[in-house]
Amino acid sequence: MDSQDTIMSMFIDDELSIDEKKVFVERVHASNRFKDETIALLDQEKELRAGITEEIPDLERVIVPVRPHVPAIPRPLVIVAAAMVAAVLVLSFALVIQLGPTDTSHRFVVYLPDASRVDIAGSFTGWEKVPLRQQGGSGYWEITLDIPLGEHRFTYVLEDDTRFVDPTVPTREHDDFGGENSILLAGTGL
Amino acid sequence: MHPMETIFEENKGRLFSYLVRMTGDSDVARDILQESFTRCMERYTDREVAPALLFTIARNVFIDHLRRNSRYTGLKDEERDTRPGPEHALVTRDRCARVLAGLQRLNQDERDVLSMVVSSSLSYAEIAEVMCLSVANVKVKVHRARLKLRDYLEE
Repeated sequence: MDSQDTIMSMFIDDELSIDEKKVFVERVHASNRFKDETIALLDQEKELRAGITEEIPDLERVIVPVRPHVPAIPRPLVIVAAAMVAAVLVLSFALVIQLGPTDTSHRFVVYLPDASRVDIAGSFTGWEKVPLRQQGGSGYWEITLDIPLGEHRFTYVLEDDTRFVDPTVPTREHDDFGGENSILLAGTGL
Repeated sequence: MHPMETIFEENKGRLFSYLVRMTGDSDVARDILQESFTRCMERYTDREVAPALLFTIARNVFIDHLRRNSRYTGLKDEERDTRPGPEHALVTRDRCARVLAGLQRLNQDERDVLSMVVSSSLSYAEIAEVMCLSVANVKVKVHRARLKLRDYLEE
């Protein structure tokens, strides 16, 4: 196959830029072989695209689960989000350490404009996932939780299946399931 | 109708065409289409789904189907369902059947990329993303598949 001939398929598939269209026309005029082959492929294309969609099956209805599972967010987005979470988390610690002696109110915030679901799970939730709330259309998700003073382990869960630790919190540990948790020192400073 | 259903309905014809071309069999294509719809409804209910993602899902379901039926290599002419019915009439129409048979002779990658190009409204760039290929690679594969198909149809 002549590598230059891919322009024939690009023409058939409407993939040519203006400059490539010019090249295509010039090649049609310069080469009968090129012209004949293009015409043959266009004829084939008519057969290839003909007829299949005439009988489209009806689909059976699907009951939508209450808490749908959705796929993982791409890792680069997670990493960017992690950095933003860390920044907000660091700021919120300043407030945490000034509150009550046994419990403290902690605000967790994450910026994930493309997410449809964000949860947090940690020792302070009994490792139950607790959903963060979306702040309008801002892309921020947040939740404020009352947590006991002291050391806690936690992780974010994106889209119901991707765990996500805060990479800027230096203290973290591996759990027994191959995952990793951030360690939060609530009320005792970082 | 649920928004997801609306999106799927709008793209159902293209997806079905892609799957018929991939499998060469409208019954198998219908099963994969239904499973794709179910997977879509279960996993993507509250998110806007682009056509490229629908094709990714259908393609993944098709690949799962191949893995479950590891001996499946597309149906030979004599293996196709001979029962009368709209799908059968569809597949056995001479022109369509001839092209479908030719498509089944391409290797899976070539059949995949050509079927998606002609069935979907996706650009080469979108198809490259669905198939984890470079756009340059898609260009070459599409054209090579067309040339091979032409050779098969001329035999």
